[in-house]
Amino acid sequence: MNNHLLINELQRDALQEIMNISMGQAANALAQLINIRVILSIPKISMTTPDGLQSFYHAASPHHFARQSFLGDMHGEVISVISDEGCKELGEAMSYDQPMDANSVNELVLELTNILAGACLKGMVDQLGSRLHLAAPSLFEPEQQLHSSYNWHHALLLEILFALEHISFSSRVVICLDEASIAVLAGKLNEMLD
Amino acid sequence: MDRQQLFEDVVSQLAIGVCIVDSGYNLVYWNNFFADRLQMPMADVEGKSLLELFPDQATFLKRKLQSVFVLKNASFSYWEQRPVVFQFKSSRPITGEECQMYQNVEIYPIFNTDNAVDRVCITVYDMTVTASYHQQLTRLTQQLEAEKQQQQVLINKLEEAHNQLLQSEKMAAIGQLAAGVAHEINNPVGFIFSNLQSLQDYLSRMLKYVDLLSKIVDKVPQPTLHQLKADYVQRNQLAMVLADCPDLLNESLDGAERVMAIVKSLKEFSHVDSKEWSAADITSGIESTLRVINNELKYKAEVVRHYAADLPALYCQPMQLNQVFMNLLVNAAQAMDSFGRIEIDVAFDEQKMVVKIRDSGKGIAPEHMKRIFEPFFTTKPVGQGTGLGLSLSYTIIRRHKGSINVESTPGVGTCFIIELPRRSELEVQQDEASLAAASQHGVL
Repeated sequence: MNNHLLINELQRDALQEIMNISMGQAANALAQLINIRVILSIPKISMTTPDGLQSFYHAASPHHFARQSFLGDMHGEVISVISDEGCKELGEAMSYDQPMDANSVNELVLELTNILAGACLKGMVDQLGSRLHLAAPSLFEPEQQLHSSYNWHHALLLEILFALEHISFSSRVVICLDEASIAVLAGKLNEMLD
Repeated sequence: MDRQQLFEDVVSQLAIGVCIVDSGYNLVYWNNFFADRLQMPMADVEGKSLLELFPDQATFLKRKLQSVFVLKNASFSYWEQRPVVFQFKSSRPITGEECQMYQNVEIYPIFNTDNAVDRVCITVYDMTVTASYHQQLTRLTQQLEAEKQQQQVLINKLEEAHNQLLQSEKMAAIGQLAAGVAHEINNPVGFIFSNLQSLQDYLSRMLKYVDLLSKIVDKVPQPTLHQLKADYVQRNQLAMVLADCPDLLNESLDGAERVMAIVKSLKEFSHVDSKEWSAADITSGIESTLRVINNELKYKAEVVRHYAADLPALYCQPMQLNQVFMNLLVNAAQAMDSFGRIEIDVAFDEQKMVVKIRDSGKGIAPEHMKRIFEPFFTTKPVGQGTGLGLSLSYTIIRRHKGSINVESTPGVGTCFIIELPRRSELEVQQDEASLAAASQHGVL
């Protein structure tokens, strides 16, 4: 699969630049909310197929999965993969009631997903001059997904890795855009480039 | 009515809770949904801190509101994780079981003209109906699951009971066969034994007579006669024959006696199906069992007995206990890789009798220890063990209100410890009666 089939090299570079700036802003916002310094990776832009997305779910250690859809002139879903390790410490830092049971860990995962997805998308959308509305996040189990029933062929993935200072914790947030939205994105990028 | 008035009217009557706070978390507005349910009209709370109005949820609300102000994105809370954020009374105060309203909460930013966020809106959805339905479903699922497990336990018990029934039927059939054979052997062996005794008596008389005749012949002064006798004795090796006769008879008598003892044990043991309760001497049961399985034991192990002196009789099912001893002793013999040692301890105190059967066999693997009393559990090759011996033994000991425990070290040996309470005839009768009553009520 050619990564540049749906967006060209120029658009890709522009998107990368936008993402880099957004992530810097997101990291600041997060540090303020979580009270811990957040370390973000440089966003990775790639194209995927349903099979490719499935392999994304494989994780060695216990992880929580959540997803959140967004609507606007672009639409898609944010998928977050959050390590179980570190959740309790993070909950403590975010002043969750202690000790945390499975329910409050779920609440934390949903809240983290909402914060991470919001932070990542917000910066991007602002710079593109676009408007998005995030729906409520929900937990899900990837094993129960029937990827053969997906009705798309290619999707754009914007993948960001989050880590925290002094806490062994990791999470991945992937913004997935479907084919129609990629076209809208490409249009927006062209406007900016002009 | 102008547009603003219209919107205000609509919002105030919405079936959704709407509440607006400023960046200091102070209340700007809430609609009737809040005001009615909390009995706090808008006028009383305007400008008050939301965190002070809801101190129980202050930490949570602060975190959520802060994230909305900082990220300028909506934030959510669900009834599954946090059923109650605001202390609203249940939406079904009369017919519902819930005493509080289950809520989904959404908090979203309100942008001002400068595209900054100085207010956020909190909306509350009543999820009581959904939550209650969901919980009922969960309860039902759990209940079904529990019932399924109970049924599985009953099925297992039934299977166990069925198998034990089969096993005891088998034992009863073997017992009857043994009794029949023993009876048939007992008669001929009886007359063989008594005939041999008579024969022994006659023979001793005849030997004396032969001796006398020989002496008389020796006294007659006729060398031809002496020669004739010597030739005959020589030819027929009579010296050896005469000397051997008593030994042969003694051995035969001994053999016949042993056959009689075995037949007696077999007859005793042929009552394995007997569940009669009686006062019995435990050690004589063990001895009778040892005689029956002597063949299995004698090339495998030396049997050492430590029986306490003045052992009292125990009110028990002697034939059932014999079966337990047989199972344990046969297992002990089969556990021997080379010629070993089986020690049988019988001791007692005021309350109980303790029988220990210790072998120097190969021991039981730790992973098998928990399963040895399970029906059909066997480590013997297919066809050699039913896996029912220990299970049956366990049931028999439980019927005596006793316990059977095992200690084993692989490579060193195994010790089975049976503790039997010394119950009076009356106690046993009462226990048996209550057991019979329970089984009539369908409790296995």
